[in-house]
Amino acid sequence: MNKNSFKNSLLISQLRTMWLVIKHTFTKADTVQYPEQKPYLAPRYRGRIVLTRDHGGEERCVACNLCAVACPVDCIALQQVVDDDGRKRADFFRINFSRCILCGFCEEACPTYAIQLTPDVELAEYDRQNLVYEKEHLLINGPGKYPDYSFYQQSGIAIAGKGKGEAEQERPPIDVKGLMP
Amino acid sequence: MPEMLWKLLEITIIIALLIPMAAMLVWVERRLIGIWQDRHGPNRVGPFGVLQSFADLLKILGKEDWVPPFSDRLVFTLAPIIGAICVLMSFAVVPFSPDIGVSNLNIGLLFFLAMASLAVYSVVLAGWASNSKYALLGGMRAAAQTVSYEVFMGLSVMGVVLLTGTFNLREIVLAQTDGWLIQSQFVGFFIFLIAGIAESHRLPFDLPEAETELTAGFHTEYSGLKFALFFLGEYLGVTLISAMSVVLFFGGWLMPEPLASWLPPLLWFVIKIMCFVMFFILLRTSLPRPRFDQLLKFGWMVMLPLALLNLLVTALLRLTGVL
Amino acid sequence: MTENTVTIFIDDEPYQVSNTDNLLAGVLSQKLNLPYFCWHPSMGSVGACRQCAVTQFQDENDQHGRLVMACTTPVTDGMRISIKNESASEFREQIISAMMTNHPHDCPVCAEGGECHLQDMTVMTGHSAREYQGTKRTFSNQYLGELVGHEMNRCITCYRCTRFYNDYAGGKDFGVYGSKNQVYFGRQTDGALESEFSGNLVEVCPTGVFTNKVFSAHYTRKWDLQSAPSICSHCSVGCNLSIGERYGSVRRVMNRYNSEINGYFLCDRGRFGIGYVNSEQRIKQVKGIEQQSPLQLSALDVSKAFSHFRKKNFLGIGSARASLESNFYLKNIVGKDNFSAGYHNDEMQVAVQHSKILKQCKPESLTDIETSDLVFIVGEDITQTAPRMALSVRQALRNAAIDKASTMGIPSWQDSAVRTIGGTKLSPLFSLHSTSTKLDDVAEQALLSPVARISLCVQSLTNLLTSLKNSQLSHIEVEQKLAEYYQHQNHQRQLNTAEQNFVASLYQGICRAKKTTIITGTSLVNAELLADLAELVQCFQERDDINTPNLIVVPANCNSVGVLSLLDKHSLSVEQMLDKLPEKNNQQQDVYQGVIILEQELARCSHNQIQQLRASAKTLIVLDHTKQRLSEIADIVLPSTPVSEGDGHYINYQGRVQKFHQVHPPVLPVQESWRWLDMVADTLGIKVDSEVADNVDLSTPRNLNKQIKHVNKQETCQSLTQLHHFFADNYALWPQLIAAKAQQESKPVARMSHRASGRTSQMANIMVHEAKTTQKFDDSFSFSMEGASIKQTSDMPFTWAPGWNSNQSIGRYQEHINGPLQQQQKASFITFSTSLAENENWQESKDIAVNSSAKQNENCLNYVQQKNIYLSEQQAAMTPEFQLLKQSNCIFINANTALKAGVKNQQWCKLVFSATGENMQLVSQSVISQISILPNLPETLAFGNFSLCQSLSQEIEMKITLANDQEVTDYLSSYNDDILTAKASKESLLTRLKENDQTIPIRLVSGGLTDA
Repeated sequence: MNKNSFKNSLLISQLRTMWLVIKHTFTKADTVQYPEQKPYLAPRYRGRIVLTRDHGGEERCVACNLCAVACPVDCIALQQVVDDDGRKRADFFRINFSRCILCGFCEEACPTYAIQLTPDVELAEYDRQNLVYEKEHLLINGPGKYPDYSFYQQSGIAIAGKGKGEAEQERPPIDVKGLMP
Repeated sequence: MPEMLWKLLEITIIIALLIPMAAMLVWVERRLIGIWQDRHGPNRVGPFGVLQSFADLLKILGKEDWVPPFSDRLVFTLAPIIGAICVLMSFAVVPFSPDIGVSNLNIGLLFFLAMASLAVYSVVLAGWASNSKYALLGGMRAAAQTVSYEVFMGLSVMGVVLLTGTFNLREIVLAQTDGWLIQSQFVGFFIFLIAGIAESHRLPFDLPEAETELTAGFHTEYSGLKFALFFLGEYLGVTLISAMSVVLFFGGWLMPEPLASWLPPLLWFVIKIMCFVMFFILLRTSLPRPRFDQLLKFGWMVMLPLALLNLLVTALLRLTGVL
Repeated sequence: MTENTVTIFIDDEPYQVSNTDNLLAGVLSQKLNLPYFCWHPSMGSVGACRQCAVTQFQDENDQHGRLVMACTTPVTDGMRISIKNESASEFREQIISAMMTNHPHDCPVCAEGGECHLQDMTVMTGHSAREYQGTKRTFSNQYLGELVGHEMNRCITCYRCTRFYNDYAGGKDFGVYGSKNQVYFGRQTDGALESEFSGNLVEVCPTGVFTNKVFSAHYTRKWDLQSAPSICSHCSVGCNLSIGERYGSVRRVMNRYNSEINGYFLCDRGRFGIGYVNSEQRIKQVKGIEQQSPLQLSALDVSKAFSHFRKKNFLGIGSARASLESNFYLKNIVGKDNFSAGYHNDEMQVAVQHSKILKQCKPESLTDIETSDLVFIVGEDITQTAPRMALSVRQALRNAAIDKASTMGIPSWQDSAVRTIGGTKLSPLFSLHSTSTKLDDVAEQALLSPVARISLCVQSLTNLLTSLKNSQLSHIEVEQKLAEYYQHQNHQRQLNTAEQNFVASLYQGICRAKKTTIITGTSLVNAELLADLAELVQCFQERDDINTPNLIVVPANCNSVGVLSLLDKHSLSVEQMLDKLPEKNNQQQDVYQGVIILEQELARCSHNQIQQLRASAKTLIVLDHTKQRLSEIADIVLPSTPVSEGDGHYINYQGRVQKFHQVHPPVLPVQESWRWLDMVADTLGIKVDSEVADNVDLSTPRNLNKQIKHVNKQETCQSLTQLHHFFADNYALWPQLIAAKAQQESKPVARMSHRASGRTSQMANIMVHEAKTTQKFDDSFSFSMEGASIKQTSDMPFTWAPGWNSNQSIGRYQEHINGPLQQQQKASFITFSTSLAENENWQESKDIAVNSSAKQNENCLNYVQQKNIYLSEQQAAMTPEFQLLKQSNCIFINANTALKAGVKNQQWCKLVFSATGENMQLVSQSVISQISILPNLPETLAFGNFSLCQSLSQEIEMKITLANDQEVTDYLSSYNDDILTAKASKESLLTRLKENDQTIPIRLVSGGLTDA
């Protein structure tokens, strides 16, 4: 019988554990008595999902489908359309919150900061169907986090009011028929 | 004839008290674990959440009495009943106080051991009848565990029998008027306690229902009332083992003076039992579950020799007249 | 392959690699990752992008090594290279970071995102952070038509687009402009791309410069598409497609690699012509069947509707665009005496000749065409009717340059070197047709000839081959022989100088050629031509000094050859059928209850014939997927499926049997034609009894009792496999190869990629409880993302490999680069019987044709309508984008004719066509058209892009007058109206599709009318 198994057979470790546990009789409980007591939720807390707008009031979402593909429970469905102003938007954008696990992968995947999670966690409904949120339920009137970002100002495609070469860090379009080298 | 009626009344009262007590025990356990884990535990239903168990009971009664189509219907139904009956029968021999106790059986201790062994049928049959791999594994484990541990459970209490010279539990209690047997039978008590935990499938020896490995072990397929019977059996089993420990090693209802006169003997008995129950709950909160091979090895390699040694030493000391 | 295999060491591991290809192809063949842009498996190397750099070592002691571009390095025995070597991988990362300096921040709005070769390569090189902080250069985009979008900012100047468009596909209207950092790929001015293969730019471009405009308008990511392996339903080549669906509507078509047919490229008709499956004109409800429940049509309703037809006779018209199964079933339901393929008399004659040719020799595959060194195209504009074949012909023409380069030791994969050495040198192509074709510009000689004289030229070539035994004669000698031969013929049977010259050059070319391919077609409906060509090939076999050419006949539709295999001596033509329909039996009762018309619009029937059909048929039953004139007048219409919604087999021009798989289940009550016919057969019974062998003549009494057993259909066929078993068990005529193939069972392959998204949300607006995925009995593909890996099948629903999201991932599944797929099964080919030729009616075809051409007055005009890639095929023509490509009327006439009429080039004229024959009714048709003058056009030939009515097919004359302003304005406004209508229908289609996205039909079971 080696040293370890001798020690084990004395049950020292087990007794010590029990002593440590019993000491907790006199410590305060960490439980927050929700709903009487509201816990503090940080601004980056992962609660209800919203779609934000940029500072110009335009929808940030370009319906790129990255949130949908990142979603581990596949609860985001959308369809892209190209509007007359050249912007791409979601024709419909649906989140089935009865499936959502609020993991925030969609927010991480979003290249335009459009989809964001908010600290609102009170999402209970008596009817599951009410947990299906369409675009009009998701879209808010503000930029949420990252207030200054606007995707189309960074992007190379032309939209109404921003032609080719007018985005940030872009030179004016090259005149292909010009003779300058 | 009236004596018979009185007895029946006594039995009814005991059962009527024991079953709600088992339910309360669930609440006590959850609250205690909560406290030890820095939580509150159930505290919403009734004052301090005492009615939680009854809410749970109501819910469980409202559930569908589901018998899986692939199971052996008769045995499946019989198994939880056997379990509950065996434990309840054991209480027949427990001397609660000088006046209370269903039966003053001469072989009370043997009856208890027999019933404890019978209870394993409940688990094995449940595992078999469920026709499910988890349940079957749970049942097999229960059988192996019970067979291993009841051997030295019996041996451990032989020391008590040696010293008191009787199998009658009431007489064993009375034999401790001068001093509790824990003094001389400390090792025996230790072995009995461990075997008792194993017999009642309590943590850390709950391998037959190890939820991390076997979903819920032998009662995987059970729900509703039948599941409640298993649950009842388990908590009554805890109470029974506590009661037996008190009776065998801690003097039953007896207390040294002046404590004895402060409270009636029955209450002292209950208090002692509650201490043991709390100890069982503490074990559950603090100790991890061993592997199954470790469990059996511990039983056969450590506990059995220890029990034999204890018996031998006790017998020697008895012969030499030291005890 | 094995003799060319050498051992090379890549990162000190030995690999067996072919030394006939470059190092990059060798590395990729070993399924190792090495990034590249400018190299393309079928376009070879130019070394423009410097992305495939590897380190090459002198020997095992060399620690330093030197950087080489794998795509321009030949494989040599024992060479040692390193891919992982730090200097090489650092070099590759720097190259890509340089490419990315100007790449815009576009991926979220780019249609290529998720299947972008540039994204894949960026990840592969490990370039993860942008260090360049300067400004980006930008370009303005061009309008390149309705099919392909342009976004030049994304360009990384790999030159693949121009190498494909100009060098590979022979386009003329696309190029490279500018220099250094300002290189621009596009057209000189905005305008639609003219090439028939412009859609391939989408797949060829490694990033999103060229995008599928139709797909982008109703976009979804590649990973979200539910795809199934399919076959193109627009021409007889049978290119393999992958059709993608999302939210219940078909979104796009991508190329599906098949080493023997389409390889990496498709034509625009195949890629964009799928629009018809989403058309407004789709038939979605049954007509003429009373429904018990307003919600659902049940099988009981159908059998009730058909119950009073029990024991009645029907005539059946099959179709060359319906699946083989449907046609076969229809033939057996109505009986072989009552079956027609919807062919007219002249088409039946063509069919006879065609089946004879197919019996005689097997046409070669497109890949084999590419190895020819002489191509003779006669009587078919394959660029418009079988476009993918034209692309292969263009590759065959490069063989001269490749041969020249190989004599100088330059391997064929050194693309730019081969092109420099080859210059304009092309293998000879001879084109003989009645209209000018796109291939004329690469033809050594292109002769325009009236239909009748085409056969004359072929006949004279046959005569030359039989009479001249010397293949070394000079051109003049050959011409003399020709002149001698035709001296004694009458004037009409003599060749003119142009024809003499053409035939003589062709003779010489054929004598010199190692491998000749002759391509013809059925679009001129000229049985004589096919008979002559068959004879021509026959006489080659008698000559030892000349290799026998391969004769390819291009029929009109995707399943023309399949229908041809079903025709026998009992089969009827449309005319015969119309005669037979009013027949009465002894009791003066109608013999025929009506006609069952399977996916057939009888496009060549005149209005009168249709009226006649309607009047004489008591019951007209039409099965089709889209409304057409027959479905409008039918009593019972059963909605069937287009290629994307059903299973079946098509047989391509070679007789190759190919299966198309259901992409998504149709909305009830739409179901496959064969399922409808199966239900019809349950009630009507089956007329054709079981046969044991097809060569047994069932009419002889000896065989009668022995061979026939009555076909008892037990139950409804749940799946195509069951149907095949039913056929195979009962009919010896049913090709056993299909039944045998269907028996292979394995775990179904997923139709969706494992990344498919929105599963728990796409239908949540209808019902929050998710419906189960659609189940289909006996299906080798599953309607979900769960299933076996696409590695296990050669019919891949889509291609994807770890790290390779674009279609370039196909390299991971090829045995070697450009080789067959790893799981490729041997292609199966259908066999042909001579039964059709036994029918006397079609036998004498040749004499009729000869007589008619002899009779043809020399002054009579021969008008031939040009075929059009977009609009000549009925199904593709329903695509709104194609209707937008409709051109205004244009006719090509001879200079003399123009001079006589006093009209000039490009002038608007009024043309009055009228019949000249005596026994013809006096019909005339006037057309407003623009004139184009072709000097080398024979006077008796005119061709244009408009159609004349059926009765004006032969012996017509044309009067040309200048059109007045009013007429031109009227015509142009009606033309513009057509364009506007097409535009409106394109927009309304898009709106409807978007609405449909949110009302996805839930199908629990695909197959049958009940959904449970």
